[in-house]
Amino acid sequence: MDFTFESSGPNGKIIKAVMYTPREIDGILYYNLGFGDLNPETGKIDDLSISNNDDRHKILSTVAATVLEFTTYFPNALIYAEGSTSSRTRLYQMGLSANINYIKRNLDIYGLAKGHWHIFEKNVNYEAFMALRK
Amino acid sequence: MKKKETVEIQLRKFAFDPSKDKIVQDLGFNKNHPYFEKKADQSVETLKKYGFPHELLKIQTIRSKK
Repeated sequence: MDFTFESSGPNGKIIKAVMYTPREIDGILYYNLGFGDLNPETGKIDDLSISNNDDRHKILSTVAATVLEFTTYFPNALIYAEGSTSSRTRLYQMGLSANINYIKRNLDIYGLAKGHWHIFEKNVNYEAFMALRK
Repeated sequence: MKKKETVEIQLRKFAFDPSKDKIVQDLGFNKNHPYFEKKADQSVETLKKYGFPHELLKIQTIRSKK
């Protein structure tokens, strides 16, 4: 399942793409959340771009909204997310922290830190995230 | 004056076959997109190394039995 949305700001319009790609490990099915800027001409995704469109919070909230939309169709789906860089992962973490009350009402969410999964908490640096709809 | 920003979510077409409980491969421009496939493959490596959160697997198993 894929989603696209448009970021509009000082640097113009940028198309953002979110993709949920299924994978299976030892019989456990999960979906990888992929996210990046879509170049409509080449069809390529740039996950390292910094668009500086002054709408970071809205973009992260919209990505979170796609998780809720996706899990409406797949309520028992495990969602895995990891940034393309450590700074991008921290960005995800900031987005989660900013919306933590709303997110925790709807999702059980864990963070991977130092090789172990923990219940997501604010102000902790994680390497990856996994969520399941409540 | 700061330009008003808008972010509009637009759900792209997708295909879901509830009888098969899986995504049908009809995803338009990024069907089997190499970037997303690569990222998903990377996640497999990470999860093989560190596993899944046990609590989430328990919840998932309980639900699937209902």
